[in-house]
Amino acid sequence: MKRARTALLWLLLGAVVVALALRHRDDGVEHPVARRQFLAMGTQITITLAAPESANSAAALDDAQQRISAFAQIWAPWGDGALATINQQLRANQTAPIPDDMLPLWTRALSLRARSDGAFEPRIGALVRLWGFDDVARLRSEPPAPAAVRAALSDISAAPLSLGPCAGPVDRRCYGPAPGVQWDFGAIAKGWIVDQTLAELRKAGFDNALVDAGGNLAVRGQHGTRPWRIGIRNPRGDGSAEHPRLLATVDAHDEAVNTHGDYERYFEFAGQRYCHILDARSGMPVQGLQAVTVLHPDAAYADAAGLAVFVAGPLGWREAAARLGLEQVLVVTADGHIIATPALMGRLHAEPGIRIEPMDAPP
Amino acid sequence: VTRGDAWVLAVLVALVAWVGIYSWGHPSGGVRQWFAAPVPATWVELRCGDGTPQRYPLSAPRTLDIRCRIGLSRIIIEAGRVRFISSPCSGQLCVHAGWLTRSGEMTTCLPNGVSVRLGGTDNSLPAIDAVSQ
Repeated sequence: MKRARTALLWLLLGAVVVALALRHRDDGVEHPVARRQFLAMGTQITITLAAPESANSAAALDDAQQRISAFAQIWAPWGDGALATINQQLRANQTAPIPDDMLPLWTRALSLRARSDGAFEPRIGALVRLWGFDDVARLRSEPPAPAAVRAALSDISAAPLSLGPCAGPVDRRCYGPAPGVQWDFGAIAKGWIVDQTLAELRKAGFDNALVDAGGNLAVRGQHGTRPWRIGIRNPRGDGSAEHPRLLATVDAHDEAVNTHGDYERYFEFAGQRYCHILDARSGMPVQGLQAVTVLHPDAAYADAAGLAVFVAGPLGWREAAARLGLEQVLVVTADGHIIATPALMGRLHAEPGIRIEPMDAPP
Repeated sequence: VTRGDAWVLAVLVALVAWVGIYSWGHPSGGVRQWFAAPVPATWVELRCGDGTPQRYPLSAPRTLDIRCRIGLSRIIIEAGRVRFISSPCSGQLCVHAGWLTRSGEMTTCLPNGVSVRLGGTDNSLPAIDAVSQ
């Protein structure tokens, strides 16, 4: 009987080992998802619901796609949508009435502009166009003339910031005249619509969802029985063993994971990379960082504040992140150092061969 | 069977029951994965614009030409991975994106409207749901 008891004890030990092992096996199961993928806002939008495909999920995805497409039409700086019409009126030296349904995002953008000391600047449209970053199909091969950049900058600095009452008896908000200003909400609009879409999906009963607007993404709930797992792109990764495409993965919980990088739209001239992220105060593409990733519960905030951290550059990013209340930040410097804030460091699962350094105290 | 053996047996049964109950709903997938259907092979989906995606297995090397908005994009599958090798766009960002290897990764040639997305479960690397980029 003693032998039997020993055998049973070994079985017991085995059961404990199995229980522990189970905690780390999470990739054998594909959880059902309903997914919709489409092009809008100049990028690929992917909505993933952690739910089986059904008439309900299809209706929710249809609705989300329609909302995002309508939003994209309203907020495109160029073309024939509402913002494009405002920009046309400003070019014609007219005062532009702002539709009421545009005011929430508009005022949010202005408040984030103030909080970022102008590093995030929605009046940047003319400058973006001057640099040729407004059209994915048309990239410049050389920088614009310095005089043209200076002229665009002085137009921005001379122009008013806030909206005022329109002339006449109707209670509406107007902007202008400011002929040099073209509004472009590109650095907040994707985050905003990602949040709005997640809120609408929740109302429709889909509490577990991921909305990805070209890598600018946020999640709610989880993916089946595990958290949503998000990869963070290696700015110089090409999928080779030396340069993996991802730096790390992170399990996301009801938050946005937002990355700004110098690799999405850029051109090279005389050995210098000119990326699409412009510093509205110098009129020039930002140099010195390859990428900035921020995690924050609010996707619109993550979008605009993440941009402000990128614009702050290699010397100023720590201070900018602290000032903007961003605790979870990952930065890749121009010379390839990968640095994470303490709050994010413990959450990251670095890819093989990737070394992430903890951030020093702010200077 | 002595009283001691009965106790050990009872504890063992309780422990096994606990492991089962605890891990059934555990975020790791728990014991359910032992009963789950076999996972599908790793595949790639190619799509032009908002059209219907075409799915190809990554198990066999091949070259895929897809004509979309402004011309022909060429994509190759090789050694379980996939990449753009040419596309009629000025930026060539999709080509510079290099090899996609992991389930959940995606890249798009926006000017041509061609997107490539990997799916299925990779045995060597955990699947991801999206890439922040």
